[in-house]
Amino acid sequence: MAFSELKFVFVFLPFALLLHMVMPMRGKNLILALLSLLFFAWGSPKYVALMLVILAFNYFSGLLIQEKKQEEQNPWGAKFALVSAVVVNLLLLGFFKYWGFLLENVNAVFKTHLATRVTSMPIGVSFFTFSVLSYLFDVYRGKAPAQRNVIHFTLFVTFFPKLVSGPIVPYAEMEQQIMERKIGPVRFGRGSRTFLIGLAKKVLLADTLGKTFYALSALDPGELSVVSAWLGAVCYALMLYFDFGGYSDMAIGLAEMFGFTFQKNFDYPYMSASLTEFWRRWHISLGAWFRDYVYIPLGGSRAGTAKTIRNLLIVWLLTGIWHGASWNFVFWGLYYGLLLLLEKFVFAKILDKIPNFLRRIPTLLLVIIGWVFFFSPGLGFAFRWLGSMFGAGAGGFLDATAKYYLSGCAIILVVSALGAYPLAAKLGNLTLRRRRWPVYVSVVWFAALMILCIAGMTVSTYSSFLYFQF
Amino acid sequence: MDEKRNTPRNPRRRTPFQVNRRLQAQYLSWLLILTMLLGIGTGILVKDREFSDSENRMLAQFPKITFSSLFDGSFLEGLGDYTADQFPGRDAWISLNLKMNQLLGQKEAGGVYLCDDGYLIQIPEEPNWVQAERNLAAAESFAAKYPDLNMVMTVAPNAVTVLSNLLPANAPARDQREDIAWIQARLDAVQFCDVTDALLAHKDEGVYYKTDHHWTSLGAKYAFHAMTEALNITTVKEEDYTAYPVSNTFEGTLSSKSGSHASRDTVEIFIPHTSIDYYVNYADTGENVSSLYRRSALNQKDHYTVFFGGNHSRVDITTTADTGRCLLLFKDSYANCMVQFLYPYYDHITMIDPRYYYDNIDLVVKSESITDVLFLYNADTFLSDTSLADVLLSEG
Repeated sequence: MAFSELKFVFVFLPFALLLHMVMPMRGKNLILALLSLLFFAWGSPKYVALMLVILAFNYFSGLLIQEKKQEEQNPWGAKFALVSAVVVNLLLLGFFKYWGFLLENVNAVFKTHLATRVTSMPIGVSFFTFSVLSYLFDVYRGKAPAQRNVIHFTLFVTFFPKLVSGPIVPYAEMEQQIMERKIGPVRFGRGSRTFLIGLAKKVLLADTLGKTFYALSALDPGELSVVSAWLGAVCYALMLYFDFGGYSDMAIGLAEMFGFTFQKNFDYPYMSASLTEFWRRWHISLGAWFRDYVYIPLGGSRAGTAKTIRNLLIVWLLTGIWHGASWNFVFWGLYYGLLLLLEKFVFAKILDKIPNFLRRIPTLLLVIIGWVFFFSPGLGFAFRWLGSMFGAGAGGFLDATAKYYLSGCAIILVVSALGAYPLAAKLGNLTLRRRRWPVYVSVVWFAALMILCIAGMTVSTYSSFLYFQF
Repeated sequence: MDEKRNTPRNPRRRTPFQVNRRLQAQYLSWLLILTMLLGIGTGILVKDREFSDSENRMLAQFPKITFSSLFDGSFLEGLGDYTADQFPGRDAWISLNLKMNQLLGQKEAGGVYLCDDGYLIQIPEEPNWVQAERNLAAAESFAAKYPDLNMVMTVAPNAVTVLSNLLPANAPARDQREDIAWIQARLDAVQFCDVTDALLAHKDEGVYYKTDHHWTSLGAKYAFHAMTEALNITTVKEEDYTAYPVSNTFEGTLSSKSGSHASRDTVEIFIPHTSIDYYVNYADTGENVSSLYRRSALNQKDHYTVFFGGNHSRVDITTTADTGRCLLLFKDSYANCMVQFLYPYYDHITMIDPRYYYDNIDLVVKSESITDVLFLYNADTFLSDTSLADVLLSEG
């Protein structure tokens, strides 16, 4: 169940808010944990039992790691407990996410015919697995004590605002808020505002841009004109940002309604002046996870140039694979790995001399080219699309197709592009500097957005019955 | 506001900006809560609907609460469908979204071009070339098997080609004339009859419905006149028919697909001036009736089903024409409104819709003493059809 569905906004959310409100403070964690399991059950009913097993396994693993750490005479005990728990979690993630991909490649290499169809994934498996791993690592390193309270542990892993698409909140950050947090009308209001902004980003911008992108991506990429290919790539870049960024906003807003403060997950990534900066602004919680639990434990950048290169490539290979089980994600990850190495070791001095606003253009271009690998179903498709972007396609520079789709999305493209930079939000806040009346104007504006969002959410469930088609 | 800053009731000395942001947040929480309450409240008060006319489908009802439905997840799934289908003002929300998208410059919705004059035009699918090649090869081998039969094929263009002047500017629609030429180039023993020019010549007269993917009876009539030579029918005159409008409230499939309800269509039937009688036999129900029109269809959503009540695997029309000719008609739904022009010229017409037909076709040729074969399709369906070859190649 996505947050931008009618059943979430008009059934689950009011139900959750009501139960949470009537529950006395000491029962709120329990009710949130149960609601989160209900949310999970709504999305993946057949995996509820599996989820309970995962929770129990990791609950006891955490306790075991902590206990073994106190055994002075056996320094390997804790490490063994940690590694075995991590391996079990990764195997589970691997089974759901990568097993089909693995078999496909085995079939291709060994000419075998193993059945590659695997069962559907439990919702949020990539995200909750990473949450759990952060918990196990934090306990092992002594950054946080193991959680003895089953309810608290369940809430940390399954808390529904972050269950499906993050942000991946580190255990140490959430633990204290589970124990103690403030709930009140102003926080609830702030959460509502963030939620509504995220909903509008997702429904009004991302879904509308998506129409143009999906129409263009259904065409033969080698036949696209230059303008069509760029239009598709730019629509995708903005769509992905408003989709994922909007979803993160909704998650952060929901968490805040229930009294939790999560760090922002996106920070105007397209204004970055370097790729390093882009990855500090895009999907921040994932980048932080890889930094804290892979890059730094491997030695980070402090163990010499050769090891730094190795570590960066490992992190980016994993980042690529994390996004999906196919070769184009591997390629996309290595693309960033190599570019970031170049940025760090070859061009660092030159880049320092160039003013920021000039560095933004090549950065944005490289990011958009990266997205072509990201959205393409295969590498051949990606290279043909890129070829069309740079004039090697059969469609020339500007064809009727490009004009048609451009006229259909020009307005939303301009609005989205403005929204991807901090200017619009800054101007909005500027109006609230002195006078009171802009507050009322802004509320009317939000109400209008809400109405359009409901229309958009309704349309996504629209399906005419066409058995009589011809 | 500045005085307020220093009052003891506001000890934290918030700036006016912070005060405004807090106030805005609180109003927005009320906005969200009121929206949810309003949605739930009207949802409870408004009576649930069974059927959606605009979407032409049954709507989900409140799921049954049973022990098993709670535990296998089907209750929650049903609750989600119910919320979406019974959401108060569903049709109005969908219209609002369409209006907003049109204001933003979008020219299509749900696979339909939103055209001038309230016309809705279906966007043709990318053809299934492999299967189309197979269908055409099967038609050729069928013709080789029965060299004595007069075999004609007509693949009618769709509105997207005939009414291309109404399409949105630069719309990247297929040129079906190329597709039709491709079909023609693959036929030899089967005579191909192209009706594109005949339809183009009358494109301003309403040869396609505005809200439906079919041609009108008038369109079928012009096509029929273009086909008479190939069909060896010589005695047809323009004034041989009277047109009767039977509905002027028709909202077709394209309205449903796009969500646009701006136009209504008139459905006409053409009655030939003839004393020839006929009766219609439906093989799927065994029913015999004396009319190819079905009045009850006009009380339902899809008024185009006034012709034969829609598609059937096999329909037989037996007439008193006494011409000594029997027609085997392989067809899709475009043919349904063509038969009213054809029947006076044949003693017997056997309509086969290969999508629903699984019996042996050679038996039909023999038992009905077939003399003529007509393949009548529209381009969009023909180029994505996956059933014709199987019927033609079936071994008896």
